[in-house]
Amino acid sequence: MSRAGSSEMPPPQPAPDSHSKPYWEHLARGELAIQRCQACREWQFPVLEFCRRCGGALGYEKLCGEGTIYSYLVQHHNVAPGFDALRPYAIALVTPDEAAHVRLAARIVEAAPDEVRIGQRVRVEIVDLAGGDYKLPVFALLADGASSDAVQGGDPPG
Amino acid sequence: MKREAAIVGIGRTAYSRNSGKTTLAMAVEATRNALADAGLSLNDVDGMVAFSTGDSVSTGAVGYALGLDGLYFQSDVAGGGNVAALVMSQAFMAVESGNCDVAVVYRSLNSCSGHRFGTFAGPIQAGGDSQFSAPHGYMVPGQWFAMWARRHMHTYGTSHDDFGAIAVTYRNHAVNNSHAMARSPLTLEEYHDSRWIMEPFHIYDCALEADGACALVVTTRERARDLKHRPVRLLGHVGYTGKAGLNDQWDDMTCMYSAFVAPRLWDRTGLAPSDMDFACLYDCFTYTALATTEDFGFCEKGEAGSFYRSGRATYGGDIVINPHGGLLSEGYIHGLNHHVEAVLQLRGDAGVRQVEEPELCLVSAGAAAYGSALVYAGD
Repeated sequence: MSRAGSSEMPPPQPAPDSHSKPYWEHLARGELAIQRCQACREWQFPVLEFCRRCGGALGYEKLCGEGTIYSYLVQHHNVAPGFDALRPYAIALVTPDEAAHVRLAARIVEAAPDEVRIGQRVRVEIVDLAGGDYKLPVFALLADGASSDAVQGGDPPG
Repeated sequence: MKREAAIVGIGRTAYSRNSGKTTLAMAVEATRNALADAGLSLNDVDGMVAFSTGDSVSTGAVGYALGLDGLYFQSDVAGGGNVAALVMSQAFMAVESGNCDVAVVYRSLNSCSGHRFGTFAGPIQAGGDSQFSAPHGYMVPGQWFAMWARRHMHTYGTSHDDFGAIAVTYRNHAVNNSHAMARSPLTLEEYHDSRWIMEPFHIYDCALEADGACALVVTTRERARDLKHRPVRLLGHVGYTGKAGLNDQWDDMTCMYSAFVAPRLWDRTGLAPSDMDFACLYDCFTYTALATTEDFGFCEKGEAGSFYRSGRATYGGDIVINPHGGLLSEGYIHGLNHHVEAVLQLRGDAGVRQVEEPELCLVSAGAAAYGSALVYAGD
């Protein structure tokens, strides 16, 4: 038993099942895609075997790759193997433009953690995940910066 | 005639950073102490309820180790702090329905010296829902709640001073609790100077990982009349699990499960927050306590920081919240220790930290998308 990152351990690797395999296959081709109901057109994440709204069959469809930061954290303490050298790093919950009810968790890159803000617009980049053959989506801040809360959805006014 | 149940005994081990004991040995010790406290014998026990996240020992193993020939009712709930009130409700239901006559509820864990979040025996293969988060370095509960806390800061202007006010209030309570692991007074300045774990959380925003066990004994109210202590009754229990516990997908992170539990609990018990004499609120992180203090209606949304800062959550204020110091300062016995404190207070056995003549208390369990809460009354 060792503290995360104190050894040469790689970052956690995904262990796909039959329903999530296409998610990783799309990433391998440089595409971010999540499940969408082929009957009622509802986006769905994380994966299920069928649509939780109508029970319909699901397929994977590409997202445009842009979204808005719903919330974020800055990780200082070492809690995950393979992330020691990256600390402190920011992880955000991103609402993709197509699906206001979906949140994708991913690291924010190419920005200092203290530059990250709720409401900022971001764009996906697909990078290699160390320690294996998988590719991973990360997000970079878009130059046009913060958007209003209005485009985020889901949060009532205080 | 309908059977009514009551808590008649409590027991625990020391809470420490390194017990040097197995979870079995600690569960047995806490159970023996609880039965002795009640004035019951081992042979009276015919039911057991416990919960774990794969880090503890089963009720069957504990019953066997105690020398019992068998158990007529047993329930091993897979869950974390979110089920720490559900297990008590189950024991009450088991006794009231006649499934058993004397039920022991325990939680035993080595959360400090044993398995800890952020430690790993080897490379991680992340399956299920964690395949979408762990490869990003996003894999421990504190990270989920940090997202929630940041959103509350954004919506209401909540500050680190607000989180700090909760850490300081509970620590000041723990100073008067000889069973608490952290008893040195904490100042707001020390809070601000402490290291970050995951922003917006400092180390003092996080529960104190602990080794230990506690246990409670539930039997009929009729039998309680012949036992040693003033019994404690259950007036109502409500639980809620949203989004299958997928915390990242919760609609509005400024409210927790408690926004769903609170109206139903107050409605079904016919009680209001202002009726509570004290509360033991689940506090795996300061933000959990902040959001649930608001959701249960002790103050308005967005006002919990000033509620704590102005002394309304301590002795002489509106209500004493976590008189034992909570998970933040007494220790992380996963929320079952909150029920032990509730019983001590309602019996009038809390010593120097005794709340004045309490009759009613709220105990909450869990955080974010899932949890439960109940109201206890002195008999």
